[in-house]
Amino acid sequence: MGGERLEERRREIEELLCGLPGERDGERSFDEPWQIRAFALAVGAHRAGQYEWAEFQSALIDSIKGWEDDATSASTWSYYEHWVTALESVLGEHGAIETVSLDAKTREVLATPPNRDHHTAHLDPIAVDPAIRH
Amino acid sequence: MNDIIRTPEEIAARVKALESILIEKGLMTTQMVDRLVEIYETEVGPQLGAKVIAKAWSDPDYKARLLEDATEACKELGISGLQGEDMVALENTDDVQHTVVCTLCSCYPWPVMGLPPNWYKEPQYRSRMVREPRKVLAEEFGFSVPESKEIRIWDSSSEMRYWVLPQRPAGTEGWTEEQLAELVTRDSMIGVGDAKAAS
Repeated sequence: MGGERLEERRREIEELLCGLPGERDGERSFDEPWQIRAFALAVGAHRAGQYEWAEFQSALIDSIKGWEDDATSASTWSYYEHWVTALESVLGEHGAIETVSLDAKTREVLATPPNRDHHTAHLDPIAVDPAIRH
Repeated sequence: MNDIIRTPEEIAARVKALESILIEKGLMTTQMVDRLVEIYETEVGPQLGAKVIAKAWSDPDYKARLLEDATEACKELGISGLQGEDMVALENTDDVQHTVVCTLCSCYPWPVMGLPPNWYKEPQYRSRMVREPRKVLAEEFGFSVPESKEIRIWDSSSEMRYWVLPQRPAGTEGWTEEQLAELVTRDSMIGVGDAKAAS
């Protein structure tokens, strides 16, 4: 499915990523689905004209620096947590989101079990296309 | 900034909330986010499925344990991250091809297989695969399942996630698990393709 196009799109994004702090060997690695979602949101919001990339970049630097300076910080290193903090910060500065409504929405999401409509285990195939043996 | 230490569930929920707000405000669309995710979708998650399958191909005892209880068999290889849901591995044979869909959303065993491809989430894939699997496999995936094989479609839900143990490719006798793992594709684990042929 459009392998070359995908490569081209990827190159465009990699250019954005070059100047970011905390990169390990320029390698993207996502351990959990929320991380790639957060990643895509930041790139997408920038592309949609919500903020300049440099603003996101400096918010990310600030968040990482804040964590590094805080010697008593009990939190462990998580690149994408800083990514989320930076995203909230730039979106907040531009009035795209408000912390109060984000907090409320987060509670709403937490109160809704994932795949809430799909909790029943189906233990048999839901369809069978039989073999035709001559 | 806030110094609240968040649990993984909380942060995942926060990201989802951010996305909903941006979409509700019309600042972005789901398609925009999906298109960006698509670029990196093969890089999310540990993608250990290939390792599990290569081991099952090489070690009959392990294969038996995998088919008996995939969740436990994955734990043996240090694969966790599952939040309580059970996994079932379905073995393809000369007579049966298994294929997995999630009819309602996009339930997928990501700790084993990484992120689901975009097409897996599309309503069209989900509904057509149930109605006319043989045709969809041939037309959309270029995967012709011989008439002599039965196709079984399984519905992954949040309680029970299925994935496919493809048939070991011919001509791979004596291969190491590392070599075999190279032949396992994501599509073969969803059941919309075979493992790669030995070259």
